[in-house]
Amino acid sequence: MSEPAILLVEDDRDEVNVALRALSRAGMDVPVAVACDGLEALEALGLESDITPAASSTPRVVFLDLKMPRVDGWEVLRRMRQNPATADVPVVVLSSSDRREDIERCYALGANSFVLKRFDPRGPGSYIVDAARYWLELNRTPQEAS
Amino acid sequence: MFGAHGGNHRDLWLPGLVGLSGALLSLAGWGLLVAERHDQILQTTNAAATEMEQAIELGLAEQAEALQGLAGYWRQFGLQPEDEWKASVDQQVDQLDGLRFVAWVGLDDVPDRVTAGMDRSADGIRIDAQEARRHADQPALVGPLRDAEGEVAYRYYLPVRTSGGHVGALVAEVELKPFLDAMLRARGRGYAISLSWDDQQIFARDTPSQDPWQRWWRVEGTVRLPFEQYWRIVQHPTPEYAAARLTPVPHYLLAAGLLLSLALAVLTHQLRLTVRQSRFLAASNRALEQRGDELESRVAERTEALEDAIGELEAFNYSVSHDLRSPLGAILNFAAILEEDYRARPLDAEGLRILARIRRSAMRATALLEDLLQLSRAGRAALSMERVDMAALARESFAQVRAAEDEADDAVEFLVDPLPDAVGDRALLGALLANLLSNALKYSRGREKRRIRVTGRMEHGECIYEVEDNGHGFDMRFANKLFGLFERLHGAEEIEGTGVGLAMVARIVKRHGGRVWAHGRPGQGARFGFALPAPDDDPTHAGATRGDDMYGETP
Repeated sequence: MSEPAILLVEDDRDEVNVALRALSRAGMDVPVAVACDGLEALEALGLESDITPAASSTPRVVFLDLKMPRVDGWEVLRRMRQNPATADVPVVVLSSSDRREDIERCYALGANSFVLKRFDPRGPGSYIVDAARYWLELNRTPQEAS
Repeated sequence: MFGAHGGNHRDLWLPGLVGLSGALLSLAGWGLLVAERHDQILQTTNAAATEMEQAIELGLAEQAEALQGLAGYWRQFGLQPEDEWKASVDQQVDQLDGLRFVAWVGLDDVPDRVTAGMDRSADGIRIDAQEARRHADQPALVGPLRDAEGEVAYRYYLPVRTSGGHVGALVAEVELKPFLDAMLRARGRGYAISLSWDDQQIFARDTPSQDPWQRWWRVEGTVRLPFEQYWRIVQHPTPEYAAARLTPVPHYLLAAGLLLSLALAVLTHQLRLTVRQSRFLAASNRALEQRGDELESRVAERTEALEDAIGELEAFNYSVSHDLRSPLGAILNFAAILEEDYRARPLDAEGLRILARIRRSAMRATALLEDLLQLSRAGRAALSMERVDMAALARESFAQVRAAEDEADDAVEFLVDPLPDAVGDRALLGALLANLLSNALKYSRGREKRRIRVTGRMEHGECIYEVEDNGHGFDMRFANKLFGLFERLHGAEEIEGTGVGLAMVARIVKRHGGRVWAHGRPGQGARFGFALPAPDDDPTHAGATRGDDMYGETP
């Protein structure tokens, strides 16, 4: 499997489908890895335990849901930022919560962006397309610099 | 003031005692002082009386001696010639106070000789001679004699037989008043004196004191006269004397003592009232302080409870908006997809799948709302406590849950052990069991030999119930999340559920004052338990279990 550009962490299968559909319809033909909850996300990132070294292949951006069974998004974010291998990977939090505390907490833990999940009149999942385009095409990280 | 009215009679004993003791002490002191004074008066009166008696006795003895001397002179030298006789008698008359006359009354043919003052009438002589004859052998004192003016006098009759052979008697008359006046001139000042002779009062000087103590001070004595005669003498202090001796000081002291006692009694009463009031006030203050503390702590408690409730409510709102938003979002999204993709073509299989998803999401939203409504009821409805047969309730609840299951085809082994009775709200306890049993059914779906077992026991004053299944189980690391609202350990696709059920279980148990827990291992089943406070009505029955006695009482 080729190196995923996006790691989508989302427990709602419907949301995943909508996101994948939106990306493909927008012509963003990038590899997407899907984790159904925080635990799977940590596995995908090689962070199941603190001593496991990070996997060599890290995604270019992580789309992270907050409310998930077993391990929630905050925990994933905290673990990512603790590990040097994933500390610089951009994390876009996708949440249906627009509570100030939740947003502040995400940024405090090191989130790069906070996107509110909602019905987008431009089309289902348009916000994911926007976020993917920004982080994959417009934004430049030091690792990607030539 | 406060409560001082009620026990008036009881409250007066101490002041009364104080006042009474004070009064008694004052009276005793007064009595002692007065008695001492009176004793003094009595003693001085006694002494004066004795002195008086002796003085009068001595005066009379001297008188009698002088007259005896005269008689003896006559006896020795015979009757002198008349003028010579007169001269010697006159000398005596001058020397003796009150002596009226001295006469020689002849008892034979010797003529009488009479000094001045003697009744010289023949009758008088004769009577005297008769009287003298009666006392011819023994000297005598005769009285009391009263003359026409009422003056009292007495006479001596002293028989004389002269050397010349003549027989006669010396008769001397003494007037009492001049004699006694001379006698008492320098004596007995301050005392009223009265003398009586054969029960006749013969002399009185001064009036006795009218003081009621008079009788006590009365001193009675006897004055011995020559020749077997005696007078009774009674003496009293005079009013002036008594007044001088009886100072009013003891009375003043008594009055002061009584006043002081009264003041002490009143003071005691006031003091007791004050002490009681201050005690009452102190108690009231304490009660108020305590009440204040109580109120404060109650306010703190309420505030805390309210803050808890508000926090819970906020979390609830957040969870509801979040969890309701996702099915609604899904509906909107899939509706939009349908709209986009099937604008120009009929629904194919994929389209139908999308429709099914829309329907499922709508159903999920509905189920969520239903569950939330139930949870809200479980939190608010008043508990109607009763004794509940938990084994029967478990079977009932299982039947209900099983009937509502979509795919109730595969067999489930359901066991209910003997369970202790619980005290609680039957409807809520039923909902609790239904939730746990429904969970057990859900999480064991797809397993072979599905088995659900309800066990129970009494332990440390608690009724403990557990629902065991051999389903998927869970990782104990996440056990603390289980009972939170909308917390799910499994993705919505794996196991259906709204994330409300266990929150409701926790809430019902909490409202009954109990606690909940869960044990599980991934793939090895789960055990959900709760404990309720044991019914405390009947300790022997509390340990008993219903049904066949599988576990019996906890030893």
